[in-house]
Amino acid sequence: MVDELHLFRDLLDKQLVDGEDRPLGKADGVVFEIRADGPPRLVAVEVGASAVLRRVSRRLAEASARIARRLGVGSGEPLRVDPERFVHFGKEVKVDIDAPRTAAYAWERWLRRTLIGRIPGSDA
Amino acid sequence: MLGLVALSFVAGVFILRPDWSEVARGFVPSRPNGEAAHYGYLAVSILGATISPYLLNFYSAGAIEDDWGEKDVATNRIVSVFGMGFGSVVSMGVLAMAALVLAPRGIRVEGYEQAALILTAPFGKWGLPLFAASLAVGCFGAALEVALNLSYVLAQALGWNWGEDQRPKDDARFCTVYTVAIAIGAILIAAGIPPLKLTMFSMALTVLILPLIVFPFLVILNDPRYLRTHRNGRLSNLVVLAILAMGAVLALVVIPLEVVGGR
Repeated sequence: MVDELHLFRDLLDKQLVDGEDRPLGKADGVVFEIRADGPPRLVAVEVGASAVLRRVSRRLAEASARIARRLGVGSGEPLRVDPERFVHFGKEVKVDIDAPRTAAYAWERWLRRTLIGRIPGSDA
Repeated sequence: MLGLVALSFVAGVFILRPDWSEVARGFVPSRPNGEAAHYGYLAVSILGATISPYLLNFYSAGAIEDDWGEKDVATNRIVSVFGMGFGSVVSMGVLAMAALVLAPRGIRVEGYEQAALILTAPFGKWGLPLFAASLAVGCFGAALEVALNLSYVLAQALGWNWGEDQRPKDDARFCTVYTVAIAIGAILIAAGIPPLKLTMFSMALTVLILPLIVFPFLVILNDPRYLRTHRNGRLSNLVVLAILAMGAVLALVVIPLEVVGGR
């Protein structure tokens, strides 16, 4: 771990990869906990369309989540990664997590099931 | 290899035996006689078609996927020189043929079907099939490249798993983007948008966004931490910046004129 983490330079919008270098997504958002007895504390890094859209407009984020729910893609909520799971900060940020099983792959799984998997040759 | 059929444009020029000094003079940019806006629009479109920004993403994505390193620099120099050279020679062939065949007859090309006449002058009845084959190979290649590039851009910007070598099932989002892109393109054309006008317009727009795409590349090209001894020289930087600035300014001026003046 680095001693000092610059939120914008080292984390936000960086590529996240899992232990096997599979892409998880980008660090689309950060969540801090405001504490009465101390400085704000980073509690999660968010990954997903609704997280990145929330930076532009809350309404867009809600619309994207609604579409995801209606199509049965998933909850539409961004994946929240616990800072405990961050193992390395570099050009990419390595996270101890099984990427394809997370909510970050909800659209990937949905598209595989409903579209790509049905096209002949998708297994080749 | 199929792309070699496009060389028929170059061969055509030789068959027609033009006055070579005239041809050479034609390639020197001259002041347009009348219709300056349309002339500028054509120039911008040609520039956009020659240095399409998508090539930069597309090529780099390939470099990541094939894991190129320092040893591949020399090969790539050769490929880029010959690739751009081939493209430019073919474009010059097309231009010269248009000047030789169409201009004397007073034909102004409004659609691809008229452009086909270019090759019937030197090749007779073979002209049309040759033209159709060149167009088909060019369009097929471009459609695949551009659609695939859209997948590369989205996947890399949004941090998805991607790769042309993976099974489509294993990067479904990546595959969906290019599949949908081709479908949308086909629908637009089937809806009756004139393909030649659409091509010209998108090529001109391309020049507008060129600085946005190329400038970040230029920064990396000058970064000694990335490229050590292989970084850009001062002359190349100057040339790139000059072309970008010239193209963008010209595009900003002529695109609105072409749209407003819409013939």
